[in-house]
Amino acid sequence: MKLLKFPSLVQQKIIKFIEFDNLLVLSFCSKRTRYLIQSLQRYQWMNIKFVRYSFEWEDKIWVWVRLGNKIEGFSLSPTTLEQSVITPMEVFEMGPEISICFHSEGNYIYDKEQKHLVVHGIHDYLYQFLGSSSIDYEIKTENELPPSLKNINRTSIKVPENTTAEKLEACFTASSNQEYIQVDGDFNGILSTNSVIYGAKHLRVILKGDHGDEILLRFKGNRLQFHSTNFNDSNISQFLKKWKSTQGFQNLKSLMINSSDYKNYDAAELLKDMSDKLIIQIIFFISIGE
Amino acid sequence: MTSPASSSEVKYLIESSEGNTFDVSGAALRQSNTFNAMFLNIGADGPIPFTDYNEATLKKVFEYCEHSVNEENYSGPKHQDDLSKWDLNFFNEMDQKMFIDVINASNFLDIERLTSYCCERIARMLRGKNTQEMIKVITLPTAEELEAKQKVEEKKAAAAKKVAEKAAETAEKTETLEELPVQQLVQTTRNKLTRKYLSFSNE
Repeated sequence: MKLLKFPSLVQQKIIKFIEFDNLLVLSFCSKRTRYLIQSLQRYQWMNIKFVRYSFEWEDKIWVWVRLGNKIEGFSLSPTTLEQSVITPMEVFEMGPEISICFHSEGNYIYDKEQKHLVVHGIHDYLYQFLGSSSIDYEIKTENELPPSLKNINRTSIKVPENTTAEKLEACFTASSNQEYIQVDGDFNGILSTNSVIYGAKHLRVILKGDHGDEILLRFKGNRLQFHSTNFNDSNISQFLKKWKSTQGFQNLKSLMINSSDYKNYDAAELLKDMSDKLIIQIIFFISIGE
Repeated sequence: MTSPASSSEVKYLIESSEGNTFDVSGAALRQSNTFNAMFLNIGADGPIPFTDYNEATLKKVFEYCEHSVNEENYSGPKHQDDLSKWDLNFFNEMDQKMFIDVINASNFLDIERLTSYCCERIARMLRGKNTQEMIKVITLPTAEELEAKQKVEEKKAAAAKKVAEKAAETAEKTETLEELPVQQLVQTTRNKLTRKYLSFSNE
């Protein structure tokens, strides 16, 4: 059956019925199939909200694509003892030197020694294949530092134990201007002095430590959220004074501090004179700790 | 033969590529948007020529239309798992060539339900396959075939170039030949004028 010989309308209908993971495999078949898919799906792909690389436990990686209200994707599993040998296939335009191959519908296996190379290859392919116009490319990790990929808009990292500020910083080298960064896990709150994390438009820190003040005072973006973080009261007051008096933090539109420890803040006093600023919300969730 | 005041009893004559004709009910034909656009309001005077498709293909397509006359209005493709036994038999008894012809005819006749089912069926054929298996299903040329094709094309291009060069050479020669009488004429005229001048001067 010669797919490329069908009339365009028929090709379009066929492509429409093919799930994303199968469409990807079809795109590996030849340049012509890839161009065909790209040209027929161009309008459909304008509705892609994000492509997410999710690094999960035991070196499993999921790649999720959200298209309108649907989420489709495929997974990459590391080789196991039973399947220790990979016959590399030329998928995602990666040459035979990178050990990855198609395993079953929606699943590939790869050599975990080449994990970062594999992810780089997949991201480069998808970025070229799907385009970049309105798609958010995102990274989410469960307990590891991700590779530094280009053109990433959003990152959510669960930092593993003993991660240094430099190592964390290295994750953002290729994409330093991000829309959203979330840092969680074994994160002690210490960042490099000029960390690109301070420049994220929206930063969410889940930090059970005492270094929130530094982040608060150095943040350059417009939305900041803290969860479980402790602050020095004088620093909070100093920050708010600066913010209120337009002496600093001009980009900041919203601050949220969700503290688990009891603090006797005088919220009314702190928020006095804030109404004339471009502030959407400032919320202190202050609960009584045990 | 046919009437624009269509009812399910009205039969239309369809002509295939072989020149054969056969009956199809108006109700079945009305599932074709192409028919609706071309003939529904004006009627057809004589057999309707769908002569790009053979009789077997057209009969298969209209068999489907006759069967689905009483089905509810089309509201998007059914999942293949929800297809009736009749539908499954309909698809399963076709060989690949017939299946492709049916898709093309159904696409031309713009029978949305049948075209969608066929396309979904092809999409299912590709499901879960790896690259090599997909290449087989959609009959993509292999690297060797592409190379062979490229060689043929190169040979063709070389032959075409030779022909073009020969044609240019011939044209050049023709041009020279055509130019010859003109040159001769110029020379003759010049000679005549010279003679005239000389004779005038002598006088």
